[in-house]
Amino acid sequence: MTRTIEADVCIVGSGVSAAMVAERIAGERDASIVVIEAGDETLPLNKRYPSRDRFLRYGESPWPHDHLDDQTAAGPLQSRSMQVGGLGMHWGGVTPRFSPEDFRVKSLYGVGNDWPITYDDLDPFYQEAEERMGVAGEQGPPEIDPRSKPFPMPAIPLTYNLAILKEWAAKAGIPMWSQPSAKNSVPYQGRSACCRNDTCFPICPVGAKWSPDFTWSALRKAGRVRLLTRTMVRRLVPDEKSDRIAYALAATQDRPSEPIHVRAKTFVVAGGYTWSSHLLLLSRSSRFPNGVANRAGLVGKYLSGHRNVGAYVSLPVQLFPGINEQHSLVTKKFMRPRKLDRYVRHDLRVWESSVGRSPRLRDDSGALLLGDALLDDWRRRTRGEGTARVRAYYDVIPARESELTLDDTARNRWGDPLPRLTFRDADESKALRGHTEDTIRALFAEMARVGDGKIVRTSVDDFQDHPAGGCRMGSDPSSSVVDAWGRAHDHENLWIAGAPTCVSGGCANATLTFAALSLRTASRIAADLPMRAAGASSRAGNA
Amino acid sequence: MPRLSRRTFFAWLGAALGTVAVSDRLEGAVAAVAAAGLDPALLRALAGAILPAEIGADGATRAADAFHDWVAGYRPGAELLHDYGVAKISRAGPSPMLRWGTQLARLDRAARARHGASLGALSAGRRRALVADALAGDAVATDLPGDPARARHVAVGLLAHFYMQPEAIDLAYGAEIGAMRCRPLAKNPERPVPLRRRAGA
Repeated sequence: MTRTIEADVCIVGSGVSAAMVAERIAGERDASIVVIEAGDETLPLNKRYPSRDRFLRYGESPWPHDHLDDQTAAGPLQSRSMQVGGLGMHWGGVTPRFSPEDFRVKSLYGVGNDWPITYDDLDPFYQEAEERMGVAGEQGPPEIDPRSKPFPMPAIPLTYNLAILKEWAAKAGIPMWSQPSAKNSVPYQGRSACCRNDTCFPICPVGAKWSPDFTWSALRKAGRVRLLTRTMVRRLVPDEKSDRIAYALAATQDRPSEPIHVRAKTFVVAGGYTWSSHLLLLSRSSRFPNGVANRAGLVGKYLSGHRNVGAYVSLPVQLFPGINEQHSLVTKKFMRPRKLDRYVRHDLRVWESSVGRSPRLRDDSGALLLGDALLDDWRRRTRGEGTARVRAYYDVIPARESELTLDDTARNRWGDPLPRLTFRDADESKALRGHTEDTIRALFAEMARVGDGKIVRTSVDDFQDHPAGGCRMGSDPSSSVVDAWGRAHDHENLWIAGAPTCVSGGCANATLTFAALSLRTASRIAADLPMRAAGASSRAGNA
Repeated sequence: MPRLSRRTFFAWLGAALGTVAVSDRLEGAVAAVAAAGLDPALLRALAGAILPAEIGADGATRAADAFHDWVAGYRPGAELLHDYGVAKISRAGPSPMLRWGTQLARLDRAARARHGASLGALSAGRRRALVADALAGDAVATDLPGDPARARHVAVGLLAHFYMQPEAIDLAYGAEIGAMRCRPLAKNPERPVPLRRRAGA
């Protein structure tokens, strides 16, 4: 028997983007909102210290039941996380903005594609995201780190170690400052300040780091949303007589063979870069043989991200690893070149590290170290010397064939094909890769030189981080999936929020950008909904 | 610290062997090993020899007992943190308890055979020599394993466990860093104060 749920707005997913959309709409509009999450409830805050303890002692995942065993992807999946809050439950909490250049790489540098929006279009939504999450930060030099308004909280104070490393970077002509982070430097919105437990990734045990569950708790307590867990949306079904989406076909884990129809005036797909495109492609029918929102054939295409080059640098400075290892310095100096002979743009972050200075069992001659000898050896290698970790995310231009497709050889419990992910650099990016990585390695070498240090090791991670794309935005429906606000070109009541709408991956941690894009999408959706009257009673979707 | 009960030992044995239940025949066959278990007294004797002398006898006892508790709390098959970029879910391997208990008992037998006394009755130097001999036959890596459970020998596991503690980091740096502990954010800019010696250490 089919169960029907009706609401004004149906949001698919419950991660960062979904939380931003729901909070924005619920806060100012009179609309019933139902949120559909495939996974389970997340671990409550009062159980996070014991869970963190198991992680520290045994490496166990601190998030029990945070994925579905049969819901995975072939290829580089960012995370298996599927629970209330999504990947946002174990993110690192780091919130830089993209730079203005990220949105205009074609116009400025002749590579890739411009976005249909500018940094100035997104600026107010960046600010809103920072205020909703609670971001602690300080502005860097205004000419390289523009802001129109201050951060909602003071910056996380630089540690003793980072202050030394900031001076080191300055010697190399690199201005660096405290990394903006969605971690409370002071109590904020009922959550405590950070106390340097230093396990931000994967779990903050005190709630100082923002995660979507706090937003959901407040919205549910206020009766502003109805959140269905353990419920998978399997298809979006268009109306028979128009291109509007009529309902979302869903099923619960507990009663997998009983269909649920979620009928809404507006649908927002906020499942991230994998599950958003996946849902659209699954929604095949005779009228839409390639899935919904896919007349241009671009759903799942242009998957993007950034690649990282890292190094560890040994320096003749006394550092004390462990003061606050997950906090870092950041600069945008290399994201904002005015003129380039060849395109290279990247961020730069610096952390304290203990690499190369850990206790060991054998000394340089191979002799076994036991008792006092082991500790003495460790002490000798940490006196007067320290290690800095440096890392640059560089911009990768995606190929059209950087894609998510349906894998008919792998299916979930409902028989739906699972996704296959393949990231591919555009030819122009492939041609630049060697030059890009050499340029960054040369920068690290120069930093080591000015600090009288030496490179311990460098690495390049082939994995493209903060993946995005698959439903890229654009003004032309023949070359994009959604418009500049996230509305699907093909279906007027279908919106895609956050990461999938990105045109490129930029060269900085992208979660704040995903959040800002989601708020911008929500603002446009909200414009068509009636305002909430002051003191209005709550409305959530009915059953 | 009381020795492991027979019932608890066989629960662990089953977990270590990846079986749900241990048959009566298997129970009889491993009874000799079960009698040794992960002997807390032997662990303390081992700790007293291979951990730094400056932590004192009390410190070595605390470290040995903490390691015993760590082994007791290990959950074979537990889901591990799934890293970014990897779809595969990894799980904890079998408990190292059986392997380590056997090695500990072997060290004690070697002590009796070579010196006519139990491991705990020997000087720290002689205990260390026995450990070095036990490790000589293995390709011991240069670094301590980040996960003590991966240590091939109980001595290395004990060292890995001790040196991953925030107290060991403080000892090495001679400063109260307090890594991974809840500490006031406002003290971020301060150089960690010199370590105060614990009474009895």
